[in-house]
Amino acid sequence: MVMSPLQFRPSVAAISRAACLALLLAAVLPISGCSDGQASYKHRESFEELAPFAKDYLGEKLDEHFGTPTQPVVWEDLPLRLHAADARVVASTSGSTGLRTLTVTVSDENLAIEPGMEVMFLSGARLGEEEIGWIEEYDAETGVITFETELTGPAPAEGDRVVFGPGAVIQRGRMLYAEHCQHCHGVSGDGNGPTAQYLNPLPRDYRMGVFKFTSTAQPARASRTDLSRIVENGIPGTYMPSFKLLEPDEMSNIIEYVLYLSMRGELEWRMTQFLATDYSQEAVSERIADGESRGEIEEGFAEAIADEGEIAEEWTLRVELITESWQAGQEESSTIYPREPRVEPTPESIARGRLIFLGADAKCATCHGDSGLGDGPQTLAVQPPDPLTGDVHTEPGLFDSWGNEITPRNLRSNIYRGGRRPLDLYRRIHSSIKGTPMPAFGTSLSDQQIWDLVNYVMTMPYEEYSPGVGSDPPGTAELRALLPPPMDPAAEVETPAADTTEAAADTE
Amino acid sequence: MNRFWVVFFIFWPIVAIVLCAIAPSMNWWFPGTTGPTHGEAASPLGQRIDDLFYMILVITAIVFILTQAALGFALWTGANRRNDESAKSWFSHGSHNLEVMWTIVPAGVLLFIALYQMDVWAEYRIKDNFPRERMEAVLTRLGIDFIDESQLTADGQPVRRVALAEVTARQFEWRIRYPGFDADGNLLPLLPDPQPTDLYSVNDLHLPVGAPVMIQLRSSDVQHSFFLPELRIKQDAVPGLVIPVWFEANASNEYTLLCAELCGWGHYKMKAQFVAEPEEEFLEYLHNLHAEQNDDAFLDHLLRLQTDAGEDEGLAFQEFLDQLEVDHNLAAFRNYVRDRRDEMTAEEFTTYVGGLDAETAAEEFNAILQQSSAETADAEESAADAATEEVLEE
Amino acid sequence: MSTIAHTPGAPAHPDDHAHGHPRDKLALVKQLISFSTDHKVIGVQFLLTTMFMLLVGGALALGVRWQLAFPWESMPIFGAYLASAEGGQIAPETYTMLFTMHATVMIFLVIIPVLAGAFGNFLIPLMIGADDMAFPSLNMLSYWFMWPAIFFFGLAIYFGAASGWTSYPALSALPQAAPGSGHAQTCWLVAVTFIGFSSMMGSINYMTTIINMRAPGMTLFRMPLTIWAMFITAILQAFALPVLTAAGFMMVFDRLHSLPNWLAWINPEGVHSCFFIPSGLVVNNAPPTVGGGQPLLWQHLFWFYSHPAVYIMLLPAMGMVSDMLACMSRKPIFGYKPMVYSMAAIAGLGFIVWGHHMFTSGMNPALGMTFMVSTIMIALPSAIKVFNWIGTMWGGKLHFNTVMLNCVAFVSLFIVGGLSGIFMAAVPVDIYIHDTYFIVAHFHYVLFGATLFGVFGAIQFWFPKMFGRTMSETLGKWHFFLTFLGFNGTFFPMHLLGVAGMPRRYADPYLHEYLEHLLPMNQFMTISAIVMGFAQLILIYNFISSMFIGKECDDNPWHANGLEWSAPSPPGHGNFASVPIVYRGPYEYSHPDAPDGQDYWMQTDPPHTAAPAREHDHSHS
Repeated sequence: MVMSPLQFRPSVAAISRAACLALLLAAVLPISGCSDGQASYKHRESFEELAPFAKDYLGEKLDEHFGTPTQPVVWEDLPLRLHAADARVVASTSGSTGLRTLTVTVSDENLAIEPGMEVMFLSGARLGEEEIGWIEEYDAETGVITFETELTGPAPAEGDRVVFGPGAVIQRGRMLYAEHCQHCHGVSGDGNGPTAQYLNPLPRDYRMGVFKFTSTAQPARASRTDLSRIVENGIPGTYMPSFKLLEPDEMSNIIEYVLYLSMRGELEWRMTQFLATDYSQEAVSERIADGESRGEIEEGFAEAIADEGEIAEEWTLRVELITESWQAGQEESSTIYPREPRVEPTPESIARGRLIFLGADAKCATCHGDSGLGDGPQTLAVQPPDPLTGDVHTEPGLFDSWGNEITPRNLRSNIYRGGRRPLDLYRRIHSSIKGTPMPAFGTSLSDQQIWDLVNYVMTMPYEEYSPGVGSDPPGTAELRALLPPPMDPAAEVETPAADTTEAAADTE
Repeated sequence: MNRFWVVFFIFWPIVAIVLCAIAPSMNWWFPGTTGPTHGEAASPLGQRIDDLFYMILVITAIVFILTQAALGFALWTGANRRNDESAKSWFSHGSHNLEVMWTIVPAGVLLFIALYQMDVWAEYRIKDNFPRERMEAVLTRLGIDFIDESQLTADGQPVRRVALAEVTARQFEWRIRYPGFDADGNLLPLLPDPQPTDLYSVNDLHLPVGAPVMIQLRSSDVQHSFFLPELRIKQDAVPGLVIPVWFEANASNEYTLLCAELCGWGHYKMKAQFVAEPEEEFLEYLHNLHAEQNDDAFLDHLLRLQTDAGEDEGLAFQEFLDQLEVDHNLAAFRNYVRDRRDEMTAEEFTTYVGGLDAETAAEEFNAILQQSSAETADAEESAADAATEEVLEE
Repeated sequence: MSTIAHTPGAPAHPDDHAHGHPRDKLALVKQLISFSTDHKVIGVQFLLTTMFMLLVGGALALGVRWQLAFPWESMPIFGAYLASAEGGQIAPETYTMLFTMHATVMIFLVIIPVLAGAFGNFLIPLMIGADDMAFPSLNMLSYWFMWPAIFFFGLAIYFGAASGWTSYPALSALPQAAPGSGHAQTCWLVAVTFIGFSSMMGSINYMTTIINMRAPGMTLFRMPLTIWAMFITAILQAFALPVLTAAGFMMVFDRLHSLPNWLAWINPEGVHSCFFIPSGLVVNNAPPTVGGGQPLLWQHLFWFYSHPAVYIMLLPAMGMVSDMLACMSRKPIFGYKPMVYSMAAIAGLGFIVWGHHMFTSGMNPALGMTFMVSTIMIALPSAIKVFNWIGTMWGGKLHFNTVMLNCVAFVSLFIVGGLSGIFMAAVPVDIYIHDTYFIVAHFHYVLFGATLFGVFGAIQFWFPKMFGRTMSETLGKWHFFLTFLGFNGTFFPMHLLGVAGMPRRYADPYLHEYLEHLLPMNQFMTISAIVMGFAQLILIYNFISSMFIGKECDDNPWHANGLEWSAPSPPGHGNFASVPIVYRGPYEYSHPDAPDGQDYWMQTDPPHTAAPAREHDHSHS
């Protein structure tokens, strides 16, 4: 058969023309339909399990005090540097229609005061005035501010608190955060941005207020310096890169926003935990099954959230606790400094350190392994409940407070996530790695012992050690002989006495 | 309409040439064109690369203009011929002579371009052509004993360790390892494997200015590329290879360092700087790194003892000593001061002990020093005695 | 005159069932989704598929451009519909997917198949006077093997393949190295293998057909340059492609850490070879790699194919443009044999220049010197071709129709692409511009500026032969005008970005101070790219609507000489009613001896006096 391929008659033309147009439209429409593009905070999973009215309450409460990512709310209760600058009124002058200039003393300047910034009064007669003043000119030397347009209404008195660019730090921090951090750490700081799923370890979830590598001891929070150190140097061995070349003010704005997310997240977490006991969907249906009516429960809830109700009280309490613990972290007194200078890393000190490492007091080897490879027996044991979250572990292995399985550091890899200075190691041993099973030895070991341990740990990457021969570094057997006998007789390794003495003789 | 299209095809090359001509003034040219360097490369090698670039640019610009002009002319006459009903095309299958000519002339030009490039490339990449002597002079001035007698090259010469830093690219940052100082404060040579004395930094490469310096480039995960745009230096960091790269900065400055080979989602984030600085400052930088990396913050502890006392003046000196006594730290403190006797002055001493006027502080300071040097002398003596005894026993 | 009847609409064969009967309205669809072994149907299948893929690749490119102009701002379509966006901004790994898959789609699913697949298939038998390809079933398979490739490339987009179209290890070899290095990379490799099979089947077919099935009188040097180009391309493909396929398998083996259950009997641990993976790499805290492989090996193998592939993506367009230019200038091609020889030279040299992609890779620097010389010398045959094209137009009576405009654009833009190539061929200069936008500018000038403009011209030129109708000139000119402006607006500034040191593949170059001031230029480029992207809808509309409502035309609407124009439009099954006899070369335009004072003299027209034709046929050699 012979046919003529691909020749078409005009009879089809009308239909085809319509089809063509439809095809073109189909191609154009999705292009013109843009996404909403609005960033919004996500709630944690347990929040979604609350009863609808409890969700409404908490959601609104959070929005009221924190706002949305694009429109953050200035909430003065939080220990944050929110504004471009904080100042006190010294004097003011009036023009023909109202307030013309303002003389101030600036107490805290986070961002340069620039023309076009908003001026907001936080105390005195002008508190709550709706009219907004904009800076036209600012003289840093005399502290005189000229407004773009004169302000009507009451004049401020001396000593009134005034801020410039209210919320500017948070807003700028959020923009920088969106540029540099958001795709891993997520819009809400939940450590679950789009990129996070590919990373090991996962990015930090800020929403428990816990940061691992700090210079402070529990229960004080990380200091701003700790956070900026991490942002500046990155965390070796993870995907947290170094942002060393950020400008100092960019760095501080980002950190302020991270703190803001952390506080928001922690408040949400604590309140959700509190509400979940009585007002989770499950609890509510149980209560209904027990004979309460939905109306009664909602009534009870309305009472509890009214002034002096238990939920309202809990909110206030939590805000206070969070504020205090963060403030404590910022105080110089909560920074851990060694009370003794570092012990010289002499062979003796290193040997003492190794004894401590293998010994029963510090039990380092139970997690990190005799050879420091991070393969100690505890990595195969079921651990007690998490002290921070109370989560019960059913699976063997070590878990952090975020519920992720973690491995003890391989001390031979020459990678120190919290920093490689002796001081950093001292702090890890002295006051733990927060949110992980790594304990704090600040009270159980003396400074001298900690330094010995630091000295030993720092030599481990260079210690002669051949994997495959056995997992113990040379001399371990001799040291074992010097240690008190193990608690568990099953784990006892029979060491012939003769060997030990021979070895000891060799050492001599 | 035909002529419109002819103009259209003549128009765009003109726009292109104008765009290139104004590009430097619009800062669409080499980095920093409108800045103080006028976009000039910041290294001698880079300047030679730029010269080659401009040479090729001139040649290609001439060819571009000639060919586009010929094309434009052919189109213009062709359009006229089209408008003329009676005209016919020129019937020709080509010209042997023309073909020979426009084969040989471009061949010569191209061969010239190729051969003219060789020297610069050889100097940049071929090991035998590295400016070794000038590199080694820098190391000598820095006091590094870079000839490693313990290891020999294939031809029986001792290995010469001329690299000043090891740059390891990883997702998504530059980890930098410098050699550290020995016990006497001499800078050590950089060994291929990490040493306990090594100094580390990240995204911040400091090296001496005004002389060729070499780094060892490696990657700890995937392929990256070490790119210094202002110096016109680029070298891939290949996993499994250690690649020596040398460069020379003309002026003390902070230069951009970034990654030029796709290395994953954070490829664009590998932002770092290369700081070229005089040798003294480089040494000082290493000293600072050394101090920072060995800082045990004990002095901060002492400072806090002062501030915690809550008084403006801090603790009185005796109280301070008492406090140390309570902490079992008095000896440690004395040793500490003694260890830093080269670095610490009496004035600095006062900031830590507080509550003293300068005169008393100086006295106390000297007292501690004397006492501790006496102790040292004792210790040395006893050590010497012990040594003698050992010898005697043998 | 020829004995073949070719009046429009008249049956090419007396037993044409189609004529006089009500046509099946779905004939088009049925034809195009049938497993036809007719080379013309396969050609059109390829053409329609690649045009669709052009839109897909273009959309991906617009995603890339959007991010460069408006970094981290809500991206239309991709930002809204792809899962990886959060807070209205795409994730950086999405950006890496966009440029990876843009390149992949454009190279493997647009340019290579549109040249060899669509036009190679459609034109080769028609132009050499054969009734079909040598292996029609193989030909059919070569089209249908594209679909698994499209499917797997689709999966690669879905999973987010992200190691660039070059897939350098260790990024591509270690699944933990990047979000796109998991399943996405495997899918990508599988797809490349399928497309490789497809190309290989085509290339065997083309070689055999061209060697064995030429009509009587169609000597090698009477073949149109299109056929020469297709022939040389087929040789290139046949010799270079196995290397890529082998390399692809090697990488798949490197990546196979576990086998599916039904294969686990081979080795439960997977294959897990280490061709490209050196030992001791710790990526994303996975256990350190073991092996001792060499990442540079992949680069060598990959570019051993992919550099010749650049000529696979260019030579057929060069051939087609030569044919179209000669026709629209009403002049013989200038220097026919030098054109053939220079194409052969490009192909030959093309095999020994791959190292210029690796000047900064850390391979032996002496190799850099060798590759520099060969690379710079490959500019020579290209230059000869440009001179000959200009020579072809010189003194012609030019038709400024859409075909001609696209061909002139081809020559004009190829000059830029060729000249910018010299910069990067020179090793010291390449140290600086390697992996900057200068490279991006260069290969877009060659692959888009040259090849795609050539293809646009070719679509317009051979459309009448495909469908018996002509495409709209007005729409064609508008398409050309907007595309040309958009193209130069998008890609010319890239040269400047490259000189300014802006690296490729950066999701956000403006993090770096020395690139911050380039944002406005990038925004201008993006606007140009959007104009250019939407202009392609004109082409699609013009193409599809002209299939049905275009002006009907006779067999030889352009008064061209080639054999294909002596067949009916569209040609029936078997192409020619009887075997055509070839009397002369394809470029005897404005021949003084042509019959009836026409300015063309078809290859099949018997000579009225035998002698002059012979003489002119070889007059230039």
